Amino acid sequence: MKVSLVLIAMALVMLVVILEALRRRRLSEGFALLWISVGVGALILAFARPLIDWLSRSIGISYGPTLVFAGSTVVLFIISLNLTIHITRLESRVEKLAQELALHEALSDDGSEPTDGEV
Amino acid sequence: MDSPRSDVLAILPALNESDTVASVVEAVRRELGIDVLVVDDGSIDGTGDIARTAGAKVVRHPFNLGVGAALRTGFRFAVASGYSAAVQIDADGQHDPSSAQRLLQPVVDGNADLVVGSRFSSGYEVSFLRGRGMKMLSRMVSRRVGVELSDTTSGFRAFSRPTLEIFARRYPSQYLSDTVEALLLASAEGLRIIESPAQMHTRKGGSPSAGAWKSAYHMLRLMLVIVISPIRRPLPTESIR
Repeated sequence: MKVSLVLIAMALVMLVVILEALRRRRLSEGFALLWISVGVGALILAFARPLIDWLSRSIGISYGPTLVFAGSTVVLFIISLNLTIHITRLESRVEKLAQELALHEALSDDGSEPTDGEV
Repeated sequence: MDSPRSDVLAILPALNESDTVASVVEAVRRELGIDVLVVDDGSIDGTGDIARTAGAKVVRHPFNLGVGAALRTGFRFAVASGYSAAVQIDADGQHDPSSAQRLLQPVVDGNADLVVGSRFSSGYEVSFLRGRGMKMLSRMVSRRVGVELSDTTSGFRAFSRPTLEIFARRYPSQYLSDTVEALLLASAEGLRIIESPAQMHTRKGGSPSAGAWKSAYHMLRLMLVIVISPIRRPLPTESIR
């Protein structure tokens, strides 16, 4: 009983932190929605110990929390994969931006036609 | 607004609209007699060059940044070039240039700061689910803004100079926030918002921007934006050239 109270409190704290970051615009709505669904998921799991036990027994896991650990590992894996994909895109954009700027400077320095953005 | 106006700008955000952009640019120039700016949002099909040949001014993003960012680029261009009003028109031919004139009129006359062209008051059909979602959004936004709006995701809009100056410094760049959240921002800034019926055609080219799952996700995201807007920190104001 005590354990589930702690879990519920943790999930609630997580949701508050997410909403505060969203309120301060340190987090975009898209990512906030992702984390809110994770938080709500955690809250549901904290309330639903019998559900976890039933679910894990039905797929042959004898100790319920193992399923929770496995599940959260998968969720965290998906999220971090998602983040690295985002970072990869940002990297290539920074590269392109720097190149455009460098070419723009070079081509407008040597007195050639103004490029009007078409570098 | 019968004579051509040199102080009004048409802003056309465009992503890979090479099939339609030339005819839209020509139609706007012919029917409204105003300058046209195409913001090429990272097209890979030569949209920018085609638009320039058709007589538009062109600003090109080095990669795709989304409609909101493209619009803000347009607003910054309009402010920096001294235009006193602007109208946003889709480059895919959905918006009727003669309706643009009607949207601009209240702004040019000084009776409104932001005019939203509504598809629904002129019998535009969308799928059932999408229609319900848009209606729900409109109700939520209307309540917040205090003006009855039927088409809050419409991208057919006219802007006064004060609106351009505010939007040039801060504008929501997330997908579809450029329409919905911008209304909340305009309202918070005390700008006068009105709705006007606008003729819209079905798309001449290109493909619709989102499938069903994506639409549902964006709807959810917009609702989160609307619900949290009263306690959310305002968008940061950025310095512009």
